[in-house]
Amino acid sequence: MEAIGTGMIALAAGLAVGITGLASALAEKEIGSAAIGAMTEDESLFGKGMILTVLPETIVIFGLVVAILMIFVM
Amino acid sequence: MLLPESMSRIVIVGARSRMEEAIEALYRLERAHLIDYSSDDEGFSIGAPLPNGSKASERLLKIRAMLNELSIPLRRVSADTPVPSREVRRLIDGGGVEQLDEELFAVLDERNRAIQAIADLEGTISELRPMATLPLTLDLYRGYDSLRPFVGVARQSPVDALSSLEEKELFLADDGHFLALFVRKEDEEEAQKLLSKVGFTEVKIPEGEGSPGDIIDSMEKELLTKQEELETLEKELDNLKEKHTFFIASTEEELAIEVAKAETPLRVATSEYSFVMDAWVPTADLQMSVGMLEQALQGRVSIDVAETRGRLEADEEKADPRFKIPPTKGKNNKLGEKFEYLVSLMSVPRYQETDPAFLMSLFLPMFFGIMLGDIGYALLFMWLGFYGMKNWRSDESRAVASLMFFGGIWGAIFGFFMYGEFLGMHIYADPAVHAPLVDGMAAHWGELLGLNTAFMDGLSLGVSKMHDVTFLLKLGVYIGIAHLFIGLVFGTINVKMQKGTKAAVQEKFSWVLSLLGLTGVSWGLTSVMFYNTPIEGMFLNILAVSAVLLIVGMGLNWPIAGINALLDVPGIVGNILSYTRLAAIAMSKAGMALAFNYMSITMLIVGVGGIGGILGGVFVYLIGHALVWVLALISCGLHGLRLQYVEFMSKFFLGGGDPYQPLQAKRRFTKAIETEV
Repeated sequence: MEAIGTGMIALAAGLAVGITGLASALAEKEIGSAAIGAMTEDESLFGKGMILTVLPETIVIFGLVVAILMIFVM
Repeated sequence: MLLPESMSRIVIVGARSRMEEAIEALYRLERAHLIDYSSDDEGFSIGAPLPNGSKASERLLKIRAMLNELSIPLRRVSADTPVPSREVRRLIDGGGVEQLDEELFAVLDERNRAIQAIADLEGTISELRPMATLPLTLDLYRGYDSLRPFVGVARQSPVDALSSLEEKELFLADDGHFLALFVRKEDEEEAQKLLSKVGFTEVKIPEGEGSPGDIIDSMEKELLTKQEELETLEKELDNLKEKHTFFIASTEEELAIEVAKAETPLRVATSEYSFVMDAWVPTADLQMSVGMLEQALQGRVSIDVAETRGRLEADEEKADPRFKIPPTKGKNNKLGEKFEYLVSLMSVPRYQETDPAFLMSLFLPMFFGIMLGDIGYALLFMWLGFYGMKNWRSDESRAVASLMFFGGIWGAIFGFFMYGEFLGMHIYADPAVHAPLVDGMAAHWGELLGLNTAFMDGLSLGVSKMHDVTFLLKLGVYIGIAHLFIGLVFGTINVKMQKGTKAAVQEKFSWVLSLLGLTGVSWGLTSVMFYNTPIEGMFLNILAVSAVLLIVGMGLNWPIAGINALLDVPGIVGNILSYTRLAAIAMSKAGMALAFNYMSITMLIVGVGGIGGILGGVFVYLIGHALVWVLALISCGLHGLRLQYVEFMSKFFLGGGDPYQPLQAKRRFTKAIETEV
């Protein structure tokens, strides 16, 4: 039973990182292409574009933290 | 050091005839940021360009045409021995530009004619070549009354297709495709139809008489002479280019400066008899600047100091629209200057706020170093960064080079003292932590190379990126709290400077309290949840104080932010957790490096795969680490930058300033020599 439990934790950790990664990617895809579009019009928008593009990355960081907590704390 | 340079506004008023002198003096001062005249006050309008401007722009146009024709890249021209601008001036006034223009374009015209002639000859020769295989002279192809000649190329053999034509004369070349067909005028349509079936295309019959073969021979001779001629001309051009490159470069510079000066009146208010110039000058140089201008203009114009702008936003609002925004001149030390470009990518700092460049110059390389944490990669970054800072020219690549160099230094510091790691492997290892790699061998340099690594014991913490994950995560969170705290403190300072103490407490200091309170509460909650710490004694006190701080912070923020005072709290938690990427990226780098090390060491040292294994091992080792190194630059650099832009700078930085661009002549090939004052 112990082994199955460990396996479940590993699986859950993988899902936590994987699904949040997909979510970040989907969000960044749209923002990133819009940001590049805006930057071709006006290069000074780089800063704002970069900030908006990387905002959804927080989702995957949360996923990662949850995964690491699962592996090391549970 | 952290605030942009303080600015003062000066007003220069004088008779219109003195305007040129005044512009010259401002250019020599190199400190005045001219304010464009844009309003339309009674009796004032923008000035007219100086009279010498049109001649200078005409000459500049000629020089730029030469730059283009000779394809001289100005950036590559050596600027080791600048000449006095007076020398260049003398050459220009002596008609040097026109003279060179004539000389150069005479040769260029001749060269272009030669190129054209060669192209024409080659065209005719290729037209004639197939005809040379037919036994006809050129005059036999034309001049008939009752015959229609067809000359051209057929895709298939035309002999069978044309057999239905009774009266004809067909000459077919040896290749079976080129043909000359002569038919009666009456049969023209019929012949055309038949020929179109075999895919016939007619060719132009070149002018001239005699046998095509002879013509080709004479033309080839002519072609040869033309080619030789072209070669001499090209050589002559190269000589001219070599001889005059510096003249062209220095003249371009001198003329560009002259044109810029001549166009300056377009930014100045003039009336019928007078002019008024407004300019920002750094307050630190104010006395010197006014003194120098007065001396240069010898009291013939009046120079007044209109104001020294404070940092209050109210001052800005009171000002006339033209004088609202003073330009931002960074006041950073050498280190901070290197990071000004990265700040400007986001936005130029406002006059009334802290310039983040210096803070960024500390934190960005530090974060880069924590994520990199490897002496081997760091040394490579330091070397490339040092090279780039010396040799690269563009703003972007210089920014990358500075990040690599200083990030590399921090990477080496963390790599040695914290991780004790070289190219993905520990220098020495704690046997309790590090499982044997293969065949009882531990993956650390000490054992692999048989080194005595005892000296590292006291020096390096020997943190393993792969095993001490919890420690690294916690470290990331603590760094995040400290970093955000510093950001909010600077936010408080900024708002206090811009709007006063009350606004500073409500807008930013409230968040300092909230951050501290939130940190304490979160720490308490995790202790209770994960470690079942009993809520009593000192622990209870800390928890209570934290809760009070959090509530007071939110309460202070409430009057201006409303419900957002509450809603933004989870955002701060998100900001803090975002710093766990420091650990995550360090871990991913280490993971990749470990995989490559494992593969290559198995082949190289354990000897799996024999000779092929050794070659494969070296290959995997080199390619693998090169890959990790490049990825390290991208991920450590970008994520480090993101933490600055998104988490840190958003706490105190607004941006939207006007960059300081003083009137000055940027000289590389020429040097200004002070005329006697």
